[in-house]
Amino acid sequence: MPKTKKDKQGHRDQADLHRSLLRTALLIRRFEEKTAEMYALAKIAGFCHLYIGEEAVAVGAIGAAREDDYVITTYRDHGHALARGVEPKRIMAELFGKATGVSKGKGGSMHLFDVSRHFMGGHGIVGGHIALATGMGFAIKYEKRDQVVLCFFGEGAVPTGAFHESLNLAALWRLPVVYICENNRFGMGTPVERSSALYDIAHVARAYDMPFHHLDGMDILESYKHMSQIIKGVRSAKRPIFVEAQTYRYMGHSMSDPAHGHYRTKEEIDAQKSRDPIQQLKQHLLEEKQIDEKAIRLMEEEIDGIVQDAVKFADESPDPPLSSLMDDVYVD
Amino acid sequence: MPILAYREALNQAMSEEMRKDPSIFLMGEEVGFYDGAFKVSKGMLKEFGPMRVVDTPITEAGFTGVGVGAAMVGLRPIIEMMTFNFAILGLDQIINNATKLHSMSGGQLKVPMVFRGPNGSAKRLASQHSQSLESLYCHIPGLKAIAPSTPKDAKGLLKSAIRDNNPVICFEAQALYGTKGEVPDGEYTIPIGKADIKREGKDVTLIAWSKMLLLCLQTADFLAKEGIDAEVVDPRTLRPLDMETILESVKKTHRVVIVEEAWPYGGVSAQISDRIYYGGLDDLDAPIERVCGEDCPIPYAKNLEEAALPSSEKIIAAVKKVLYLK
Amino acid sequence: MANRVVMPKLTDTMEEGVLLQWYKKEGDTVESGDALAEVETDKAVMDLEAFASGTLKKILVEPGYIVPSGDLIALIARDDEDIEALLAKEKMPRTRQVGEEGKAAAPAEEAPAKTTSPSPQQTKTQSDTTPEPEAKPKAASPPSAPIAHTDGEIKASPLAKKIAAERQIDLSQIQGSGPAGRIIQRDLEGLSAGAIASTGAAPLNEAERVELTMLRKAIASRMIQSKAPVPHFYVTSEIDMGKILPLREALQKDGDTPRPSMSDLFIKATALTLRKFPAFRSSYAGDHLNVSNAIDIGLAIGMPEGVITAVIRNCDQKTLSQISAEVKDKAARARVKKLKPEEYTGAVFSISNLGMFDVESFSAIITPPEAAVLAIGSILEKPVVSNGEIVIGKIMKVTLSTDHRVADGLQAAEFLKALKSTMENPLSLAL
Repeated sequence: MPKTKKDKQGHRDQADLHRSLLRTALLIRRFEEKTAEMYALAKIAGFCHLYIGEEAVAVGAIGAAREDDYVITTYRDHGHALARGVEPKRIMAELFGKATGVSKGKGGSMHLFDVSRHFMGGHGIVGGHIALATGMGFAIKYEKRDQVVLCFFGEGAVPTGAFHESLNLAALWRLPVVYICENNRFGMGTPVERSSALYDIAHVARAYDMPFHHLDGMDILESYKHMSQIIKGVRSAKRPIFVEAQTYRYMGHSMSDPAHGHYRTKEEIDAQKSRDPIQQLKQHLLEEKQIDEKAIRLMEEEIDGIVQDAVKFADESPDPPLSSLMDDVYVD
Repeated sequence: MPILAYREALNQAMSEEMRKDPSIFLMGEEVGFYDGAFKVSKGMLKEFGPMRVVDTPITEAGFTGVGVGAAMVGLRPIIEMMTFNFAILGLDQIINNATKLHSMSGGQLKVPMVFRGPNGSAKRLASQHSQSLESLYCHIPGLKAIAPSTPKDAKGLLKSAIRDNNPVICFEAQALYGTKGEVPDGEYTIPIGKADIKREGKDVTLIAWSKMLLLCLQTADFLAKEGIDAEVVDPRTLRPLDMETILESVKKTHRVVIVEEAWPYGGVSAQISDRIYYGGLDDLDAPIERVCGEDCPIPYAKNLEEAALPSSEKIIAAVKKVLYLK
Repeated sequence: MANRVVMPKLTDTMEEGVLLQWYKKEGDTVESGDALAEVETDKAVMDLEAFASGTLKKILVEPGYIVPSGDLIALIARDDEDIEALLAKEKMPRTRQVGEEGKAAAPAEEAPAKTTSPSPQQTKTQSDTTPEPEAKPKAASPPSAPIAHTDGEIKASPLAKKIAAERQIDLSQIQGSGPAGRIIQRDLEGLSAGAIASTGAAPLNEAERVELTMLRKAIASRMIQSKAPVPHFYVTSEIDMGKILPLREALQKDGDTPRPSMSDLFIKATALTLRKFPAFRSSYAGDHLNVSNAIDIGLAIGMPEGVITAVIRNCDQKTLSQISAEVKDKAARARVKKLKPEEYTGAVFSISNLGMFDVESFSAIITPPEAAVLAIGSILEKPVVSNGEIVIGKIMKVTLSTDHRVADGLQAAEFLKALKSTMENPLSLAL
């Protein structure tokens, strides 16, 4: 692989980039494992959807994007926020419902926002935010800017009206939006076979004359490589594209759901885990000698520290003041 | 003062604001090449071009959401709903997104935009095209709602709505678009949240907005012939309500009839009643009367449609009731 | 032989009357002249006196009903007389209940229907268009008085409640004219501080409805106010006016001094008397009396549409001529309705003078919260014994109506005696 000088994310070379991707994926993994623990301790409440197993999609796609490209996603949003560089402690504080959370404790797990990082939110209504992404694409075109929008959603959103209306408009108006379908094979408990008439989800883009792409959503490097190309293409061609990332979530739909049970088996999950994106990347980097065991251990320790600090920060942060109840209902 | 039609006043409001602020655009079905389904945007495509006067396919959920998304990143969209019956298809975007993003993001996002279009019945259009849906919107914190009744108010209020940094719904009416009235020359706005006394009186307060306001003014003339001096208050803004002005009037007349084209259950008039009972109970000499549309889908047949809607007769009966007249 | 008792026609304008209460019950012995019942006419609340002696055999109208003048309301007969045959021939009274809604006006526990009497013939009198609700069974709860609410059950509009609080009007005594008897703003029009008044009269059949002037409405309910809850008793005394009349003549000749009227003289005399009798300048307040030190005397001023009480303040501190001038002024303004509320409210004692109308004597009704009222009749020439000789004396009968909750007969007699003494030795009045 050719060496580069510092790339746009500040990586000196490819090994540096790969270690960085591994680190992001590990951060997401450890952060969410801690999230599950904190949920069990009732520090976190409400709906809480974990991304464990699907990290390759966000890490690759957001890693490939420019910092000023917009990222918008669903309620399964911790991974995207972390990949976007949102501070872990402020995410954890949000999950704890604290005043120091990214959304001041008003959003919770499903509604992380960091507009300064162009992280435009976790959204709770399946399909609804796809229209918002389209609107952001419209604004980019309107103002003749060269950003793109990365819009993440599950395959469960594909049958919604908002999805179809959005894709039609984006294709019609040639808006710079990357529609990234994270096909984790289950819309809550319903497998894609029972919810989509299309066998190949990506083919939905054909209805709107939109280019589409299949992506291995369990392979971080693959994801990064292809998303880099796709984003570059969208930026220059100024037209949307549809990406179907085939991935898998290890956990239940939310913390309230079992990881396995009547809709899938433990064996199925275990089989998927054999392709675990983080293990794969570690293995690959060790084989390529881009990293060694010690560096991995140091990385793990550093990340454990970050996650511990995040929990400590969240725990010690104050609840939002009651006086903030009516804040931000209206813009003054 | 020049005499303008209501639709021309709206057109002026949008055009004047768009000339000043390039982040404002108008989007909706038939707003461009067709010059507006009700000719409100007549000539605007020619002046502003297709990037700022944007025709959409019939895709309310889509273009409503596009508007919200564009507002999230700094534009100031005006989304025209061909009617508010169709806006129901975009309601998810308004309620779940437009009104939530500012709060849910802890104040990081703003959604400065206007949703506007005709609301209510327009003669013989039957159930799906005749609905008055303002209470649906007024229920939602995060939204503001205006319902101007005159060309002057329409222009001044729409300009304020366009400049507002919150999502604002502007309820117009097909029956109002052709109505004419004096509109001041030059730049002016009418503040959101300020009611207007359209007719002074001392015996009873009639409260109404949009085209029901005109019905009330007409009815007040009939009442005057019977020696009843009605005050007609136009809230103009349905959220936030200017209760100060309304309560002042109640203090003066002690009797209230609220006229609303929409259905009675959970209507805006119910909200106004509640606020009057809360703030003006001791000034009331009679329970508030509400004259609303009948509690049924609006039928097509002429006689049935007329029976389903508020009328002068119904208003007069209600006025006599609060005055304890037989 | 049985004697019919009918709703009297007491004035030219009286078409009907409200039977407020029976003083006697069936089976009671009555003497001619006894007060049988209390009746509200279009002018006042009056006693209905028996014109025959015997036994009150039958009561045909329950309290709370309006009866046209001339209709039979009771029968007086010999105790052993059979009246059934007579009753069968009689036309039953045409009655209707006071108030649109009997329930609102009549707490059931106060006046259960008398089952012994035949149901009054409840016609709708002159008109079938009357809006009177028919659904309510009238016999279920006839009101004992046309206006009666139980505490906590007053239906009044919030505005009416506010007005009542501001003007200290007791809503429990007011019959509302709104739906279900709701008291509304117009029921309180013209009423002011201390007044406990309302339209009083029930809404009448529309076909024959004559709107009362506000003054008349106020008087009507005020009087009911008084008579219903205030237990009156009456003490009458004769005053020899032999000395005061010459004094009056003398004062009249006295240059610029206006001639004092008989009322002026009584105001002054009463004021001096009231100084010594605090009970008569007090008001009953449940568990205590409020005694007024200001001797503010109300004088009833008659007008075509009713009576209004002009109040003369601090009468004990004013000279007769001051009082006289003030009465003259206020009476004149009262007749053109120019009195301010504070000029016709707040008296501690009232005087009503019908002397100029050839009235030998009468009893006045107390205006709450006052405790007494003095009724002045005409001066009559009567033979009197003076120094052992029979001479023609100038005699006036005055009647003091007193709230029995405040004072008793002895005090009333002493008050009158003191007043009589002042009037018969009138020099103190001229001071």
